[in-house]
Amino acid sequence: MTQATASADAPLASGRSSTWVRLSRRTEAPPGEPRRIGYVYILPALLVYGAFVLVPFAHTAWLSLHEWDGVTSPTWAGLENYRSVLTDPHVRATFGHALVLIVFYSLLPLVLGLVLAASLSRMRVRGLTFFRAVLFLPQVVSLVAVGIVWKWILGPEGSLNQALRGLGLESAARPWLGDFGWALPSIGLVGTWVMYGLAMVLLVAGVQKIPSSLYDAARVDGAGPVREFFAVTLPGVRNEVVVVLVLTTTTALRSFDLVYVMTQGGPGTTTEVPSYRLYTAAFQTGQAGLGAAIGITLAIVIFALAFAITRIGERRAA
Amino acid sequence: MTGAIDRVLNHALLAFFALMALGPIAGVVLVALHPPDAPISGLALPDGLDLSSFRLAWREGGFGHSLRSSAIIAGTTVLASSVLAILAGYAFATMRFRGATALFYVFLFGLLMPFEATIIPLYYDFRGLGLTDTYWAVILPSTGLSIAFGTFWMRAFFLSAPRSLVEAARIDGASSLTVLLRILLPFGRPAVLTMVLLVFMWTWNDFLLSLVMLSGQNILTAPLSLAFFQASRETHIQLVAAGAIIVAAPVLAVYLVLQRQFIRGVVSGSVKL
Amino acid sequence: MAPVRFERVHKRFGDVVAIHELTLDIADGEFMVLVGPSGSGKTTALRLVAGLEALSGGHIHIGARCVDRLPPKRRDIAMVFQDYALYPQMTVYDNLAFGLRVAKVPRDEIRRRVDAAAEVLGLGDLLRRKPRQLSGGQRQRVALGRALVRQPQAFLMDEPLSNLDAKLRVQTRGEIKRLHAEIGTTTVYVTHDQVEAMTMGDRIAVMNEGRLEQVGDPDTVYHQPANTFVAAFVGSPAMALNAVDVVTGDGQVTLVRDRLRLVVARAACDLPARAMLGVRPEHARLWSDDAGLVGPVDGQVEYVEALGRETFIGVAAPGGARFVLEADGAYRIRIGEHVRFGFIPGRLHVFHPDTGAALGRL
Repeated sequence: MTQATASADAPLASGRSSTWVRLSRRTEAPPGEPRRIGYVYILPALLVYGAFVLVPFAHTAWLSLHEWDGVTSPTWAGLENYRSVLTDPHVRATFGHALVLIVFYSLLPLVLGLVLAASLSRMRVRGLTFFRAVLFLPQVVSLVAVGIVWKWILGPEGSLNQALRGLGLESAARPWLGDFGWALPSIGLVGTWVMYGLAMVLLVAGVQKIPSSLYDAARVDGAGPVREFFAVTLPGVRNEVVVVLVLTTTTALRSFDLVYVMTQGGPGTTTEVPSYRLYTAAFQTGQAGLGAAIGITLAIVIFALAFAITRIGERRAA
Repeated sequence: MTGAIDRVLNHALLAFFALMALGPIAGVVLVALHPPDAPISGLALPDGLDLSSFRLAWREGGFGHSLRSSAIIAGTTVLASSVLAILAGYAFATMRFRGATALFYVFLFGLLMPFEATIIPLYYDFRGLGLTDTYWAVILPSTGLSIAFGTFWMRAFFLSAPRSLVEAARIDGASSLTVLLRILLPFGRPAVLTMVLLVFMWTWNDFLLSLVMLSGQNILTAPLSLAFFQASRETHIQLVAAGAIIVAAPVLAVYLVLQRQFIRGVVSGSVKL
Repeated sequence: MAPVRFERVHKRFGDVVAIHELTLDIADGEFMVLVGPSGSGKTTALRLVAGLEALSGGHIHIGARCVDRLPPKRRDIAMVFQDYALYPQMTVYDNLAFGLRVAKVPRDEIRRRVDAAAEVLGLGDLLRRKPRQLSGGQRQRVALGRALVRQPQAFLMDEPLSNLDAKLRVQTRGEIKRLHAEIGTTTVYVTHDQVEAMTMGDRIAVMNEGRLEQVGDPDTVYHQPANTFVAAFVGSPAMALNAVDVVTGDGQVTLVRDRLRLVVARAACDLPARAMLGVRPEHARLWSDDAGLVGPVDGQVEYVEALGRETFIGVAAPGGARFVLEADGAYRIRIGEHVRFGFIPGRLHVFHPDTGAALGRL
């Protein structure tokens, strides 16, 4: 995403009237063209954004280098907090959990989306608008409500266990959210439920933009459905895949709401995610510095991941 | 007849996924339609459409207040961030000034940056200023973040307008503000609408910010009140279910009415990424 | 209305020079066409007059004023864009009235002018419609109307006919000329189509790579091109250009290329040893002994274009020279056949072999 949006294009500097061309520093502005007034337009937005996003971010970075209980003065701690993030087993584990969640929030929905996109690739489906509306529904509902709903479904007497028992799989029924091994995957599955509709909507839209002549050409060349998928469909939705991956991995790495409502990090610490650890550290155990370090690390991971995904997406283009 | 089989298969696939998406939501609605004291077990169907759980939940959960608060917060955030984002996006798209590219990157940063990386100082600073537990504590940071998205979004839209349109207006003597208000914005209603919808949805559904900033003494947002309600009513699942529906209802209503705009906006916007 | 003057205008975009020292005088009320291939700088020149680009050097005058530092709205000009640039959410009436409203012209004056323009352009029934409900030709006329109501000192038109289909283009060409004859405002018109240029301009200015190659009335530019670029650009099919050696003997000049030998009467000026020979198709004819042609030349037919009214024959001559002949529409000949042809005397253009400048006609 960084690459594609990086082109801060400005109004044209030559020839044809509807192209936008990168501004060259040495090109003068024609008389009367609004120029410096641009600063005035941007100022209010910049002020609010700067004051409540940029400054706090810098402040968090500063805090991460200190130890602070939220009450007394912060004391300098250098990179100590970051060392904790990297070495403390509990804190490190939270990032591990986040990575597991990425599989559920991101990879699974992507696969499901691709499956659907592939099957819809060559035809217009009637009532697609209706299906899209329904598929997108989970994205619209507050995650707190989602957490509540699934907490009930996954409860000891919830629908899932009921269904399993009904199918005669009594032994498979368990307290999903209370099980040390199953709690995290359970939350992951909820994430899959939330995200797969988004992945599908985006990927199906992308697939419908692929000109059918490409498929015809492939078929004339004798390609079967699998070959068609890898040769035509997948490259054609490359951009959508990048977007889906970036959006879903970011959500996976954050996922505070679900954890808070469904498991509060438990059982034990098996479902603690970085944002949850940040919350407890900063507001409950008086470790604001550590919390800040977790926050900064989270930001770095997200940026790195988004960058990597976009890069790979572009390299495939070549 | 591979054509027909394909079509049936596709519809079956779509229907399956749609059902999976709808299922839990429908289930919750069914649960909420049970009276408050009835015992619930999993996939039970209510005897009749009983709204008493809704009434009880509304009273006991204080949802009237929290819905109002959420509306105030979301409304203010949407209004403020939209106006500022339109102005900034317009400038980035149509004006050349030194440092424009760098400044735009600054805004772009906020799109990816996880909100968790700013709440800690925000909380403590606001507390120091006595602003915690007020509407501003939630409105201001929400607006800041929404501006990052909004600026990116509106800039993308203004860039898509033909440059000759702006030039013709300039020759006709229109000032930059006139061009924005009388020529480009009327053209851009769908883009602005999508932005408004998305910001409204995200602000309404926000949880972490409200949790940190609001202690519950004065004001609660809808999701926050739901979380507290759920914690205290663990056993009465139908009350909690009713509460969840009450909280989700406003956004769902807006979504149902405008879902085409919603989805179209999200799909077209992702292309711009 | 007013004259428009380019005085040593220079325009750079970063490292790229778009216009080199352009000096051009457009008379009051004249219809001047700037024509050239893409990248020639013609559109840039127009935009400089409009004030949509800044000058890198030189001056531009509209009327008595030097407008270098003036923003577009103060230059008293009106522009018609290639894509018409009509305000999409406004009715045709509002589109026409917009500039006047911004200038705070009184309401009845606006109505008067808009109605007058609508009358002239036949837009009366369309005033309440929106641009998206109009056809391409109608939109074009609204764009013209918007320029008309401003009653400016000069009209600037940027390839306004390019987006129309061929038939509409011809029709609208006539309308624009008719308008100009009626109203008489100075017009600067940019196009890449040399046919448009030839039929519409009082004078045409041929531009290439940011330089003015030649300016003059269509006749002069066609029959006395100043250099090989103009010669090849104007006229269709293009003038055939071939390099030849020049042998000056007593009383006559012989143009030689391999076995090709053309004997012509002595030229008035001195000719270098080598030159570029240019001949238009209409001056290259099938050989006939009593037609007084220069030649004969023997060649082989490479292609034939039978257009009904005339037939053009592409010929390969000795030494790799190539010519295009014009013959009667009913004439038929096949590819590969031998053909004998000659040239009308006085219509052989000679250009300098290196600079391409015109040296004279033989």
